[in-house]
Amino acid sequence: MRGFVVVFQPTIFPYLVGGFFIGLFFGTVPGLTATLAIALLLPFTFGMKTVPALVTIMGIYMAGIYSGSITGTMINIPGAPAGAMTALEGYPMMLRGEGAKALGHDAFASCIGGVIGAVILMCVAVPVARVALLFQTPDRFSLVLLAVVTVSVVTGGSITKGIVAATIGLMFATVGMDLMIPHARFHFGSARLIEGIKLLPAVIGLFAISEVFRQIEVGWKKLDIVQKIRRRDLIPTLAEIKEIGLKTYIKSALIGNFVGALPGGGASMAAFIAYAEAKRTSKHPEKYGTGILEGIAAAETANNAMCGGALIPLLTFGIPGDAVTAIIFGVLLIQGLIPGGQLITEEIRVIAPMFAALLVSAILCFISMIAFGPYFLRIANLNKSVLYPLIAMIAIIGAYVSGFSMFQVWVALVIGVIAYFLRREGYPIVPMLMGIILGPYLEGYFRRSLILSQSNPAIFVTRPISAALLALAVIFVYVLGVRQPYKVRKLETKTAN
Amino acid sequence: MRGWKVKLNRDIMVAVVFLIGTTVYLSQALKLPPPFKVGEPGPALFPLILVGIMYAASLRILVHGLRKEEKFTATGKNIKKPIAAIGLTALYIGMFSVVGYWASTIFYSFCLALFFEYGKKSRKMALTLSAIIGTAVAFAGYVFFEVLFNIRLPKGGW
Repeated sequence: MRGFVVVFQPTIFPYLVGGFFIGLFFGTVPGLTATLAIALLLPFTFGMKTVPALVTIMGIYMAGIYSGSITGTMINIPGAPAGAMTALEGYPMMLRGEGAKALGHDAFASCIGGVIGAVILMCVAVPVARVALLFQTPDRFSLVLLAVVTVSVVTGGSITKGIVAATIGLMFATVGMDLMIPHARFHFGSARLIEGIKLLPAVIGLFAISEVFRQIEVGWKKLDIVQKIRRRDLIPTLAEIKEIGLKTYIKSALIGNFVGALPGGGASMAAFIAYAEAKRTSKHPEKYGTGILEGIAAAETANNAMCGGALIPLLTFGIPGDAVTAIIFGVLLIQGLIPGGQLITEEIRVIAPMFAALLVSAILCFISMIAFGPYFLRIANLNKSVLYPLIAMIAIIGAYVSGFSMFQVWVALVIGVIAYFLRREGYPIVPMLMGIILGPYLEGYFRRSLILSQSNPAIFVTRPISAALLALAVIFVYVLGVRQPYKVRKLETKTAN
Repeated sequence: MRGWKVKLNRDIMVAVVFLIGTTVYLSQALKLPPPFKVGEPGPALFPLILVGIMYAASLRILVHGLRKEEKFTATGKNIKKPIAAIGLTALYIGMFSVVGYWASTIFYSFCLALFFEYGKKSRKMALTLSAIIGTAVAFAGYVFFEVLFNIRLPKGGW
């Protein structure tokens, strides 16, 4: 309750609304994402107080995930990957002249999913955090390893590409002073590299600068406007909601929340699984793909319920599962908060407004659609020759103001160039960010465990929790990285024959 | 040698870049005190493990590239603009503290806008529009950073 009281204070609420609109804007414009929005905002969180910073980020997160589906429905180009499944049903409805109905249900389902996800987060965060406190050093190593490995396997087109990206990130994390003894590493004779690679230029380089280069390569053309949206058609009727069914909303929210809590899960996967499950159990599976409200409800409920789920491992175990939570991890560090069990148990007064902000932003999804629905297409159609110079400028000046150091700006550029070429060759950059952020933890836990065991690596398999987590990592690699691609290849060969 | 013909493709090139990068990293890792020298895992242990993983992954990519039938095709047309943008960004960062925020940002934003506008409109129109965008972006940045967040931006030595 205290969280809600704080969020609705006149000095805090504008931050939530501001963050929400930033997220809405970045999610709606194709090519811009919530990840990019939070990455660009990161330098400014230095100067903000903890609660306003966290509340703003929650607003961006929820709105960014939700609004990806708006242009997906209107013009079949999702503003963010999370909106792809919604576009499958929303766009055919738009072509039939039912675009407003599709957008209304999109916003309503996002609201329901976001609220359920936030409530689950509020209920389970404290008990899970208490369990997290039982984890000892070898268990923590195995947990971080599980997160890095799973994200690498899930987000890469191939297991090798994901592992390469994560390893490059881990290599970047080793630059600078050693964690345990006063010895500089990988400084190449430069005194400035001894201080290491800071998180902020890394995030800006990976997500903002590389994106500008990518957009310059792709180019820009104006979108085709299909039809106008009338505000009164945006409100879902009770009959339509009944037709979709409470079961669809609740099941999709639970799926989304669970997928969000898995490392590498993410909004796209949540939407895909919930959509597939809704289709499997539907009375009209043949209507899927032709524009059915049930499909929109399942996908949107799941991808917004994912937000609450993704925050569970981040706040309780200190493990980010995707790019957005990895950057939120950075925001928490900037604010002097160490994500993990102690954060929830000891700093609940700071974290409670964050939970409340997530729930309130979910409600704002629906309110914003009713208020601004007819204008969304104009945002999506903004000229990129205005947008990207602005983003590039904010990214570079943002890297500069984070430490008033030109060296950090050069670091951001170098990382941006590396990330651009890696993306161009099909390498995912999320594992690279995970490597940079979690690298010091992975190495620290690894070395401390070996010191505890007098250099005996068996400590990782003799402790039950650690052994279970390592076994889980092996299973994930086998199922997601070996067995699944093999099945896909087999299917492709069969189809080709 | 004549019977063994390798078609250079992107996988091979990427693998070679990774192998060179990893070797440079290894050369620095070897300068660190060896692991377990005083009975404890030293600062070189973790980097050496990373080197092992990176070599194994790079070799896998290399082998995959060697087996591929596909030949390297230069995509010069697509890559020219991003490479120019990378050079331009480096120039901007270099100019930033020398000529100050205003001149460098107007120039940088003007050039970036031109990347998007050029070829879509007449040359005169594209130049005029980009100049307006460049000035507007610099002004927006000034309002955002200096006025709103009270952050002092470099004035330059001019």
